[in-house]
Amino acid sequence: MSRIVRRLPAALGGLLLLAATAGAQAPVNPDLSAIGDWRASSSGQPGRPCRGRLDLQFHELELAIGGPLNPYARADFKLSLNEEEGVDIEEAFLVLQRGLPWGLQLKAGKCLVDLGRSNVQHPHRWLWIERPLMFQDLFGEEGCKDTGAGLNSLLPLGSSALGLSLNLLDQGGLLTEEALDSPFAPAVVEKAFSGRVSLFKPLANRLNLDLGLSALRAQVNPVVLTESYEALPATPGDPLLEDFQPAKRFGTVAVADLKLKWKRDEYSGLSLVVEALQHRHTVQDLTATAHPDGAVTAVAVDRALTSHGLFAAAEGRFLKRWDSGLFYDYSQSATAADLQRHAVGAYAAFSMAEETLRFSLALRHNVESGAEPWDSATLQVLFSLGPHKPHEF
Amino acid sequence: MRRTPITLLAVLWLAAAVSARLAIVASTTDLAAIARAVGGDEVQVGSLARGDGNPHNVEVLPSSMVEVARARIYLKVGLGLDPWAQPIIDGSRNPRLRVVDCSRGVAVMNVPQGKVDASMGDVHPEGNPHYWLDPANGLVVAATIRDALCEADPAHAAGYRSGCAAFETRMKEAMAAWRERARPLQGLPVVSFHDSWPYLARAFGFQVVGFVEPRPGIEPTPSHTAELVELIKNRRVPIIIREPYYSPRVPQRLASLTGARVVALAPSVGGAKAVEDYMALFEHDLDLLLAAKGK
Repeated sequence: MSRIVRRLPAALGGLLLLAATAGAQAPVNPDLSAIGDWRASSSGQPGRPCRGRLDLQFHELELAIGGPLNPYARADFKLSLNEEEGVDIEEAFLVLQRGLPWGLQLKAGKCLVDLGRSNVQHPHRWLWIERPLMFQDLFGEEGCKDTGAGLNSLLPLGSSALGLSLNLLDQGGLLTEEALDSPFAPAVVEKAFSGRVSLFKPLANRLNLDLGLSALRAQVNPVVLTESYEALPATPGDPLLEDFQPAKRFGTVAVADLKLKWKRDEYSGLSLVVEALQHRHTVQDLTATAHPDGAVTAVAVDRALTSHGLFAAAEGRFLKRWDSGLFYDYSQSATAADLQRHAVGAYAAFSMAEETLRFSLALRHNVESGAEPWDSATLQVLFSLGPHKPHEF
Repeated sequence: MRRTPITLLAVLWLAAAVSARLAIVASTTDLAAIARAVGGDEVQVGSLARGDGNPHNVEVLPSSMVEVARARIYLKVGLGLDPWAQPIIDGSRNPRLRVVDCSRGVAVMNVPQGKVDASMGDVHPEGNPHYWLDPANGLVVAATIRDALCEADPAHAAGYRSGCAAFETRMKEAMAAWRERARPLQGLPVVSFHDSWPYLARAFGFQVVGFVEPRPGIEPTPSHTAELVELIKNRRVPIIIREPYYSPRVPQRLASLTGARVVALAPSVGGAKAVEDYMALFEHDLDLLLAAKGK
């Protein structure tokens, strides 16, 4: 809480400065929006300190500032303020929208990586509230975001649209801060690459299909300490440890996604979203062996690992302002295939007037390897000030 | 076999000739219809919003972006009706695209005075954007489109000028006839679902005295509906106008409680089967209003 209080004046000062200058240059004001995310939740997760208690939380305040820089480019800044992280730059990027050859667009800055469908969306878009488990497990609660630059294109294919993007990323998000703190973390992290191919196809009147394939190749911290290593840590100076090169292990994340949406009319419709993820990488199991002379040596053995994840949600809109749906969420641990998390759930949301105020309730039944199943419920109230958002597919 | 390359060249030439037509994309079917009338065979016109769909609320689709990527001119309604057009235009990556705001030169109605905020509902700070529903504004829009076409494609400027002049002549003749036919509607009080019809009301002489929505863009509430029942009874409102994309539920309930008739007017070209061009839009709506009034 103290962090957020310390950083708030700077963030609010910036906004006030912007607001003060806005009056003088009204015709070129950027769009300013603020989205509040308040939650009341309760979880029966075993071992959780506040198990079964009602938890009231102001989860996040998102501030968004965006607009054209000039006739060719626009910029967007999205700041997230919450009690745990303080002020976080969620995204800050520019897009060179026109002027490049072959209809290319250049995007540079810090942004959500277009890996799959949900990762590139801001969480307030999801009626199921929580980020899919597979992205949480690989990249943390914030999903995969990184600093980088990328080119993208949109090509006509009959009545369809083929989207292509290729990005160079600083780290690819696979190396979290915790991993970098590890004694085996590589001193220099190699750059990562991501790419996406998507096909948007109108199937019939008001029925559209969007398919995507994306991949990310990034360096990983591959070291897995076995129980024997934990019990008998190898001594510094061990030639095996000195020669140990964890820096050159890479992981590949591939995501296939689908969205099928039928907008029956202004008041009702159905949609289906599916994302499937595969993560392949090599880990190095470090095993320590005690010798009769008292020396301890470590042996590193490469082990190829593949893990999977799946998220699927089917939802319907009715009476214009009501949405409800069912979802299935699955993730397999990247380092231990037998560690799995599943969740099934249902959600319902009511939007009072377009996107300005929305109440969502999500119920989850959670199953995790080696733990008792538990249920959780979250009521989310989203309220937003600012310009109308376009209704994206 | 020798003829194959010649045939191929001919096909390519034909394809090039066809694609040489000036490509235009419009936000709505109405602007597209006027552009077709002005541009004739020299233009190829598409539109993004459906004639029977809500023009305030159009999905930003990648297929729309590639359609705009091929265009030379984009026709916007403006006045805050089609903010969804901007991400489509940006997503098209089209550096040659000229964006034309067709509200330019239109005498805008119902411009709110003082501070405007969201407590007033989905109010358009620059005024009511449904201006194409006054045929006189159709003439202003046609002139704006003519100028844009002449600038983008000077080689066919004479054709665009004559196309616009012919459209103006046809419209003026029709407008005189519509005014005559619309006499029975003079001063007629009507209720409409949304504030879509002030321009049509001005053109045909009827009066919109209430709305099913308590505020623009806000769903009907029981208390407002009860007030509306009183209003319809007190003012003896015979007609409730409904846009085809809004639910008939509340208008029909109002009708059953008051004896008024619900009329689903076409708010745009394509809003009803018979409405295939801009002039047919007014013919159709006038027919329905007169039939509902019983004249």
